Amino acid sequence: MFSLQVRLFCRSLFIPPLSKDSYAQHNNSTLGVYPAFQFPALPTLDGHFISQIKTLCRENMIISLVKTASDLESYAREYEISCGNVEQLLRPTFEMYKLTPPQLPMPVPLTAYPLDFRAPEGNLVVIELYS
Amino acid sequence: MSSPCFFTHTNFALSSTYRIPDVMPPWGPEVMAALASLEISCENTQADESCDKFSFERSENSVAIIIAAFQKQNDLEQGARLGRKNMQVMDRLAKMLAHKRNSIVKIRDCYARNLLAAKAADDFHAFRLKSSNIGSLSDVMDAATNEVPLIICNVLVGQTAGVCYITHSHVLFNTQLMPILGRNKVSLFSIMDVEVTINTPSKSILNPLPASLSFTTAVFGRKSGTREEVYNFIPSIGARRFAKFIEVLKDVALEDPESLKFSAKGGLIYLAT
Repeated sequence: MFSLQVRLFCRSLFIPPLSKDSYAQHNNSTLGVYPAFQFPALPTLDGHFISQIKTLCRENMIISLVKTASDLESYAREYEISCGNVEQLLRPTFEMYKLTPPQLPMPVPLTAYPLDFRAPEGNLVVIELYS
Repeated sequence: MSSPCFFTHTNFALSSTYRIPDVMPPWGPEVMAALASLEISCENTQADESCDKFSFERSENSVAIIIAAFQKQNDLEQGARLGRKNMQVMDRLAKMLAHKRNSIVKIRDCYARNLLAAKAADDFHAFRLKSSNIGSLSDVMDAATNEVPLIICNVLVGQTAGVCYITHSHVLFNTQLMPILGRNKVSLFSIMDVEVTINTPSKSILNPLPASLSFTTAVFGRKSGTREEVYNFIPSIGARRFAKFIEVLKDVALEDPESLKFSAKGGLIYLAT
């Protein structure tokens, strides 16, 4: 799967062989952002291309993240349903003895929990890449 | 950065609504390191004239290196986000466990404070003294008079109806032995001594009864794992819910009360702070 994605990207990246004139024209394009290979081979890893790789990798990460988080969520939900059943079973007893049942815990949103992560992109010096 | 992208991809097909994504670096330290290593390898390749500059393989490798670098960075984010989700789930589970425990303990310990509960506990104790099977030796020795029934529900035992009392440590069945004469039969079981098995209902329309439950106990003198059925009944609250409740009671009986230390607000999130 991974090598197939790489192949697709590479095939989409390759351009027909260029003459030296056309290379001069292409040299002014965004392809010249970061020199990886010299003319007439793969001239460069284009900034847009890297951005697309980034987007694809991020999509894959999000899919994997959502899948794992869904498993955790379904487990927690089952446990909450089981707790709800106990609550329903005990409610008539609390009423019979005229007792006040304990309050159900309030749900806390996910964002209330600390996220121990800082985007790695934040630690870079932009000038270095474009210089 | 407004020049059009010359390659296409299924996810990024060019169209009138297509917007070129933000390509502004920085990409992250891993990707930067990968790009730097690619540049060095490119320079080395230039110096080496014998090397094949047109190799597709090298381009594939270079893209693979970049993808691996992005994945390494994404793994950090994924790990952090999953850690946060895990913390939320743990918090929810701990709160639910505490809620179950508090609900049961509140009824269990209200004998001295609540007259209605005390009366129900006395009735239960009176039935207990009449039971045909008084239970194990530990039950006889620890026969407390203050066991408050947590649930009182109707049951069907064989062909006769009855009432089931569940306390924090016992299940008691009071069934009509002879409906016309009015004699009753009382059976007592310790929750820790029995295993609950759900018998799936028959699919036949001739037997429309719901799922039943069986109490099984270990048979002494035989090899381990051998169990025998000692009681079979159909509870009015549903077999599955009944079995789940017994499981909860066992968990509460076995768990250490000090294992869940909550603050006034409750939950793990408040423990961390």
